[in-house]
Amino acid sequence: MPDLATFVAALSVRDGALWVLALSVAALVALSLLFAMYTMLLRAGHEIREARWRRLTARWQEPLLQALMDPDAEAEIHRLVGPRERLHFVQFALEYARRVIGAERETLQRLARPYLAPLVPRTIHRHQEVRTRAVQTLGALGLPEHADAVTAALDDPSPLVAMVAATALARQDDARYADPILRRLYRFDTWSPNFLASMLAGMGPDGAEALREVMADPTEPARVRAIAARALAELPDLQAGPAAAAVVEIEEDPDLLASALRLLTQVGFPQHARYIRVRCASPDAAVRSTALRALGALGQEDDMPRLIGAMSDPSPWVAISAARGIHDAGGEQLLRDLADSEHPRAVVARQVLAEHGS
Amino acid sequence: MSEVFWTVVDVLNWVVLIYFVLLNGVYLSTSLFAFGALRRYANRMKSLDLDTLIASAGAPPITLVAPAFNEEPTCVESVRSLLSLEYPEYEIIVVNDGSNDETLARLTEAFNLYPAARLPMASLPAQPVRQLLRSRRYRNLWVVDKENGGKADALNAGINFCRTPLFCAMDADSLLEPDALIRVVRPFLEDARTVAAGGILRIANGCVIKQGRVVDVRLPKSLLARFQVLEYLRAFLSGRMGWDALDATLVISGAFGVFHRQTVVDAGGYASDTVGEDMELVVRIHRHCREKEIPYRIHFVPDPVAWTECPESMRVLGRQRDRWQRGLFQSLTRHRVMLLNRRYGRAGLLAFPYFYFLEMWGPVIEAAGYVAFAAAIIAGRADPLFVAAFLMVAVVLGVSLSISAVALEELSFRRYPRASDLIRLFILGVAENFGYRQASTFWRLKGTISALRGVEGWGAMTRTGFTLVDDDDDDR
Repeated sequence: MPDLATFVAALSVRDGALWVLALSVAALVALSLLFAMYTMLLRAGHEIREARWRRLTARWQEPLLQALMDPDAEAEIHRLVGPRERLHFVQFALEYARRVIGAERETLQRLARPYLAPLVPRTIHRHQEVRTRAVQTLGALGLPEHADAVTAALDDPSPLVAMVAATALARQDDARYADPILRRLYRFDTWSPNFLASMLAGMGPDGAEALREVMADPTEPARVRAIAARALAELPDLQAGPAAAAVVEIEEDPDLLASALRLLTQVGFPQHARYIRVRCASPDAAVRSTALRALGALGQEDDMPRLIGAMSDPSPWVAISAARGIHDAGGEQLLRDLADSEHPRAVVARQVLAEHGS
Repeated sequence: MSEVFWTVVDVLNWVVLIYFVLLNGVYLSTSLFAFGALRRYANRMKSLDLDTLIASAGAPPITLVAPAFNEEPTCVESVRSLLSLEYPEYEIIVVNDGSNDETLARLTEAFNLYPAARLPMASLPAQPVRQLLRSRRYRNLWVVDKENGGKADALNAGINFCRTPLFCAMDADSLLEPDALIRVVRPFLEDARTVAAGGILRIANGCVIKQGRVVDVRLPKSLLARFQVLEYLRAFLSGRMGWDALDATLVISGAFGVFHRQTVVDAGGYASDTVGEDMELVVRIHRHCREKEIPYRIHFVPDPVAWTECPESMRVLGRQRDRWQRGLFQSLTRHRVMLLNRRYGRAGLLAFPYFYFLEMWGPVIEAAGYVAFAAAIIAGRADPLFVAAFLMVAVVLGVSLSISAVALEELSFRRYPRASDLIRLFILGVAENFGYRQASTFWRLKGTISALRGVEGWGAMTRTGFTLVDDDDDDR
């Protein structure tokens, strides 16, 4: 060390700078070589892992297909899964489980079940990715046995883990999970409302009652109520008409109104038309548009002039909804006449007729 | 006089050295951010089966808007590739921008098009539409046939007929991977504030394409195209990924980007008086949202892929780079108010200054530096200390960054299956510093000068068409 210190002290500023530069260049060259070596090692590692995965899947694939057709063949699979290969087998089963439903999915769940226990502690692992993976796997292959772990993940600090848990639970067609999911919707406030609605609709008719309650509950945020209304429309829930009509009558939030009107279009009754007519004059184009569509589905003969008038609405979205409403109300001939006329929106009539193959 | 000249040369040399330090410093920083972001992204994708989630429920309908001008050799193949995308609900609007070749005829014949009615849903400025055509064979395929007005004008015409919440702007000659839409739409689902998201562009030259899909990824045969492969990896995986990690994405490639339709309409659509309409739109969306105080996010997503054909001749490549530089210049000077302005957040404080000082004026500084450096060497006045410093920041650091981009590719997506391709890419990372980089600087300098002179126009891009194989050529 003293020799190095003496050497450095003896250097002029210029020589010192040159040495620093030379060392920097050497370091950068070394860095480049390290990057290159790291890349090649990554490649080698990937190839080794892929080769191993290919070997394992080749060993399991045929017996798995047998087991899917014949339950007696399930025992053979377990004999082929070594102690250190259990989680690989779970991964293998998960990939199949994504592609199948019904009895085949149940077979896969049965096959994976003995190997799932080690995943439970991973649902509280410190790394978010590990938790997500564990919740996803338990959600796909481990319900209802591991329902506690998956439900607990709804309160995970990471919204991503919570979303994976919610999605897994929503797919179960089980009313027990509806309330826990709906009460956590506030956690997904950045997610697309349509996405959340589709996820909730995945609960099927069993979740409809809880959805109706949320939609009707004025203490819930308008966004959450609107999502519930969209989910009910996706189902569609035939009992939701009165609750949707009440929302249309009372509420003022445009998104909630539009969602409830969309729901009414599918499950409403002619007596709800009086609430809908009021919304046809809404200052919000999205509300007007959905109201006109609903009026087409539920309105009466004397609503036709209102629909025809709305075809001249400044918003093209409203004009198209009005034309679709005319069609839904049985006004196909009226649309034909409009299409052949000099009406400034005759193109809308032609477009809607073409949509219906006329 | 002579002394003054050499003083200027010395000053120039130091300016260039500082420029290289800053430029490579930014590259290094974005690479480091990209490294972390890509690792997180790869882990996230491994731990979340979001693709199935999206495909099964809640995926928003999308309209693909593909402007086509004289795309006769590739248009049918490109549209076929769009028709085979894996996405629950989407429409395709091909905008024939007054092509004077057989583009429209080829599309009409291949897809059995007929005149159909459709109401425009917006009124962005665009040249008159001659006719609207719809495919009898594929009900989600439409063609807008309009007067020529340039790419931005064609995109505006397509957006006017778009009726889905999102649209995807793309080049008619690009090939989207089947799951590209599912992947690029993810930020819109995860964060409802997202107004735009771009995917990665990869070079299709040399790859084997079958039925509109890239089935075998190979490096191009041409050296010029290979340099561009490396350039694209660096630009997307190190650059855009890094800027995305900093939440300061300022560019979404015009060849593949998804936008929230209403936001684009409210911002005024594409500007047809610039050749850099893609960057200009993204910069304008930043301005629009910030000035109207609309919460928003703009993202780069690294795994949805659009394959594109790159130029294989110096002449065409030069024209392309000239145009890109003019587009950059026009976009940045038009929105100069954002420069170092806190009102525009990280886009104004980080990304805009980088693009403005280092990318826009970079070619001028770099070209002046090359001349000054050569003059100093020839006159024997070059300071060895300076030469060492120059080489270090201009070449060695550049090589490190290129190699790190290849490492990022291997870490994340591993699209080049042959180990020999990786080695070739490493060699290209060294070789590009001797000739290709200087040529690129020259083209960009020309672009800057053209922009200062107010030159407009795109310059022709000659397409050779993709390398295709037939169904029975599987073993090739």
